[in-house]
Amino acid sequence: MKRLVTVEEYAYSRSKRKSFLGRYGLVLLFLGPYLFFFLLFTVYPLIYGIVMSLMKYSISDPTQNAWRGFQNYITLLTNGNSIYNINFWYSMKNTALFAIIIVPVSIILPLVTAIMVNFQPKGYKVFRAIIYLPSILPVSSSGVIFIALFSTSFGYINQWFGTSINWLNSEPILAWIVIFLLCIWGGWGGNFVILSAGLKNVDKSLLEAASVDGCNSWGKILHVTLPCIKQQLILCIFTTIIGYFSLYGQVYVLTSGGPNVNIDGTNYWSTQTIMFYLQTLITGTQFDVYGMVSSMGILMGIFVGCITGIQLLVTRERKSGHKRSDEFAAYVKAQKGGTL
Amino acid sequence: MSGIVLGVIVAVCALIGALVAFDVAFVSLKKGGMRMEGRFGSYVSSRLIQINCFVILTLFCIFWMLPLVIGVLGSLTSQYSFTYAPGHLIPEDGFTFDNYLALFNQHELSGERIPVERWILNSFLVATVNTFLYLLIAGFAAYAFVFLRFKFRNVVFLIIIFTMVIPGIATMAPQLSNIANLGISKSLWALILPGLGGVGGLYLIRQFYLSIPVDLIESARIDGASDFRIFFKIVFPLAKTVFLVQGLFCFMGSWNDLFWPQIVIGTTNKELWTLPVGVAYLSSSKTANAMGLSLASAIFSAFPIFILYLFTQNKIIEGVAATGVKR
Repeated sequence: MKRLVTVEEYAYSRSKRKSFLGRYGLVLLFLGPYLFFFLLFTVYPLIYGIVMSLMKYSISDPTQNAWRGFQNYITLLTNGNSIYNINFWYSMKNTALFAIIIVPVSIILPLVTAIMVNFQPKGYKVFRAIIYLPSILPVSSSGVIFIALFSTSFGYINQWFGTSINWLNSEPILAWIVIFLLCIWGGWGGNFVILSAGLKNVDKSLLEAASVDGCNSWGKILHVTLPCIKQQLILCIFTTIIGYFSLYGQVYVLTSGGPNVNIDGTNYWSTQTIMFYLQTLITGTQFDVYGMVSSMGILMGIFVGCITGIQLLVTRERKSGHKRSDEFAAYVKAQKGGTL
Repeated sequence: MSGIVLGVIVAVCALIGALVAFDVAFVSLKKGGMRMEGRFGSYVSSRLIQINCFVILTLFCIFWMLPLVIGVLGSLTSQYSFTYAPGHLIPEDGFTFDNYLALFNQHELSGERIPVERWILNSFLVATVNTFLYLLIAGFAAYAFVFLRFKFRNVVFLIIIFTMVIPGIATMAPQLSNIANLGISKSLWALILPGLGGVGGLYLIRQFYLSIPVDLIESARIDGASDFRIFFKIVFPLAKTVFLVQGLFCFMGSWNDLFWPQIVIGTTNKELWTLPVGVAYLSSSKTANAMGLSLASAIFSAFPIFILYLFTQNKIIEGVAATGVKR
């Protein structure tokens, strides 16, 4: 039995088909290349990594690959005798401690310079450019400069002060100090620029109102400026923590893991960070550690992801700066509605 | 040499002392001239604060530039000075370009030549190709997310944004294996392609597109312009700034990257290294007779970025600032 098709129906289905092709063909043309690379180099490695972390995985010899279940994670989390477990937690401790110690310094000092630049003295743009300059240098370059500064026998610092301290390869604390200085030198600019952008956006009328009320400049900074740049401060704190969790280049160039220390009969590379440890595993001579490296990466990813999640949560709440005023407006409206 | 250090410290202290004396004089003069009222703070004029800030910032910036200046001067110091008379900013036997010349004529212990010029070429290739491709791809994708309508547009974008939470460290090992499976682990594509799936730039460009009025696009569409034409004739010229900023970020990020080239190329293929990897390698001996050389390589690899910064520092700084304010 033949189905009757009206001209209208036919035209409708035709136009729909055409518009589907026209629309989605175009979208694919625009979005396709990006989605291809995104799926290939971001989504696929993530899924693949989760699978890999459940296996014993060798990059050179696929016949060695074997399913291991959660064995890698169990080793990392509970087995205190495993060399992977020991090194993972040791480098984790190093990284976390360093990140936490460096955060206050790398917020407060740039904030001070940002406040000074924000007073707009003569040539403040030049100051701004100079303060940001070290941040653009490749970390290998600035690292080499710091090696020249802190070398034992011919380093500038030792020569100038007439000392002969072995900064980079004797005491862990000394090596960490040099890494710290390099991180501050190279990381100052980013926070400085973000904070000064925040300072620039502080409402001038608030400051004027404060000075009319008899507030001195110190009070103005403490009670008006700082609350106004809260959002930038939170952003800086979190990005600094997250950034230093992937600390690698500074350690690699300056100390390459640094002075070897012996604690309770076990040898540790005292300036080993988590990134550095994973790099030594991957470029090392053992080819069947990829499963273990993946599970370390996933553990680390969950940890850092949680911090980022907290950051997004916190900044989202701070983002609507008019929350209170909106609430107040709603309250007033409700009151009016009640009385009317 | 420590005498000079002492002198510098004394000079800085004297300068700060003079500044304090100047402030006190300034304030007390004002106080004398004006009616006594309020607290000390109300007499501190903004002019005085500016002068103070200027002096302190000048001192700070000189101090801040010191490592870089030392690096440049050290790269011009001969190996002889480094070995026998270290610690002099201005070497006694004068400046020399020997380190830079020696950079291109280095040999391994095995007698093999170190291919520095290949590193320079690789760095340039990787950085420019990566920047160009990423801007093209992400520019088009952002256009689709803002100006084209399709099902699940916002859902797809949210998923893409969500992956920003995952740090690169989590996907490092599988990414390496992925690259090996694709068969590009022994070529420069291994350094160029993985960056093209990046999310940050797409986000930045999309944020900028959102500020372009939709009416403009609609009216162009009604006039019969195709979407490619709209992109190249309207959207791209309007969004030039964000493309410049993102391009600079891309270029600097890929030029400065040390970690990824190091693990993906490995130690054996020196021909495929980029400059930062080479610099780290040259400096790894950390001995006096290589110090001038590794400083020269460091300054050399920082030089293009420095020049770029010199001309575009306003744009770079504003771009960094925008990432902090808009979020």
